[in-house]
Amino acid sequence: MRLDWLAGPLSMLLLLAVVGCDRDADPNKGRIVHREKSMYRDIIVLDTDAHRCMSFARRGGMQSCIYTNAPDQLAIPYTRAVFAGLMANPGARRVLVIGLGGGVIPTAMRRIDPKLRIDVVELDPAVVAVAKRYFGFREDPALHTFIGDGRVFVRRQAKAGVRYDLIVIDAYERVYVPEHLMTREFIGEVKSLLAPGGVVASNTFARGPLAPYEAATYQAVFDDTRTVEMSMGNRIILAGRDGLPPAETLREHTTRQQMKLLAVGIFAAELESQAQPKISGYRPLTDQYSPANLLFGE
Amino acid sequence: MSVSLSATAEPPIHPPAAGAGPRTRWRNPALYFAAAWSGFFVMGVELLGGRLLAPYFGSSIFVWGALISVFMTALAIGYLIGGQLSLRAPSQMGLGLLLIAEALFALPIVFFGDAVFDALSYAISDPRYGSLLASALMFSVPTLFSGMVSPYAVRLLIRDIEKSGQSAGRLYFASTLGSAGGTILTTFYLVLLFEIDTIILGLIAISFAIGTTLCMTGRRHHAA
Repeated sequence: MRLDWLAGPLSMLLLLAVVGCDRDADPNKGRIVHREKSMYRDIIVLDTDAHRCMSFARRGGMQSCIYTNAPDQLAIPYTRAVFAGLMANPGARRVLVIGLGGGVIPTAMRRIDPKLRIDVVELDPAVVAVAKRYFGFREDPALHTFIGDGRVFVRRQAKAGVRYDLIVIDAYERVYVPEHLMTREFIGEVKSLLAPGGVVASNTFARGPLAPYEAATYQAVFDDTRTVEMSMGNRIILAGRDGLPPAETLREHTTRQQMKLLAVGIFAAELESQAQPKISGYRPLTDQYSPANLLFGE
Repeated sequence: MSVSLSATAEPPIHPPAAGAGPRTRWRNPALYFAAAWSGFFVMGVELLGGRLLAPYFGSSIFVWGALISVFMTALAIGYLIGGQLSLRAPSQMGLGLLLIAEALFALPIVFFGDAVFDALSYAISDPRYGSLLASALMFSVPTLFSGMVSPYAVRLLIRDIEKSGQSAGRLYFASTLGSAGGTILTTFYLVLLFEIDTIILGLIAISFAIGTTLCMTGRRHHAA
């Protein structure tokens, strides 16, 4: 594409603008627009100077943020980094997103590729309602939201013979991990739901005592994993049913799509991933042994 | 008033002994211990049950609702049956057998739980009813026997109608405190140290051991 040369410098300019804005996303500041006690949590919608954010705890992390004056741009680094998964399987047709938040990931996917068939599974119906009302999340004939437990949905779809080219796992919070969604068995079920060449991109924790357990758990299922590391304590773990393309190929895919990525505020450099070193000395979490939330405090 | 297992051999109802004050010794600690352990066992199994159901039915609020309602119903029926059972030749051995039964009927959780949950999770499309039926199949029988322990033990403890409330109160105390202990130990520490099946097998082994001990030591003693 002829405009490609523009992408580099443009990226840098936007990056400077966005990095400045990210600091504003502080849950302790801002005006509460909506607060609701759902069956599972406190859902808070906050407006700060530049952002609107969804938070599940006043002092917790942000689940989702959008720029108030540019809602099409992905405002939180991890929501951008999961697109490394799409770049690892650029021919993806069918996508599953586990965990909705404000719905910014499926919304951006829809913008990047209008032909994607996207399924989203979210446990809490209140989160879906808030995403629609405050974050502009819209379903369409090829974008469906299912209310229910992620693991139950994965098992049902696998049994029904459905296969996905990309599965995004965004079900872990900074203060709470659904323990049955971080076990070797669950990751195995996710793998079995992948089509040939299918890729999983999981938003996980880069720091803290849980990180090596989490890595060991993913590595117990997938031979090769790559990570996209980010500043805010998140990292994306990437893994492929049939392995992942080499770094060169990933970079090529990203470069080829960089204009589309830029349209949702993603810079090619943000999707750069590293091969994850093999973790040893940590026990993978299993259905029989999954004290994920206790390991936080160790 | 000596604390001895033979206390259960005495007639259950007789006039208060002269000079017996309102503060009476905790006669027969083995009975309180059995009730406390049974409470511990129930809550340990219940909380681990939630973990066992999660892979198949999720950990939504209704899965916990299904599980807890099954435990409550099983305990309720257990109380009823335990009370009836205490009418016929109650003995320490009988109490021991209840603990042995709660242990043995919990074994299928470890050996068949996954297969049953797996089948039901596909057979019943609504995870509310799937988890309800799964809980009923795997957890209701051992819990039923656990429920029988307390009323049965009350019968063995009561020798004096005027102090029956005191005995029952103390037994509730032991049993519920045991439940609290089972809850906190399981969720705070045991899941960090052991696999779930290991913990359940441990609970089963302890129930079995306590039951056997009660049977052996109480074989000759029957309440009137």
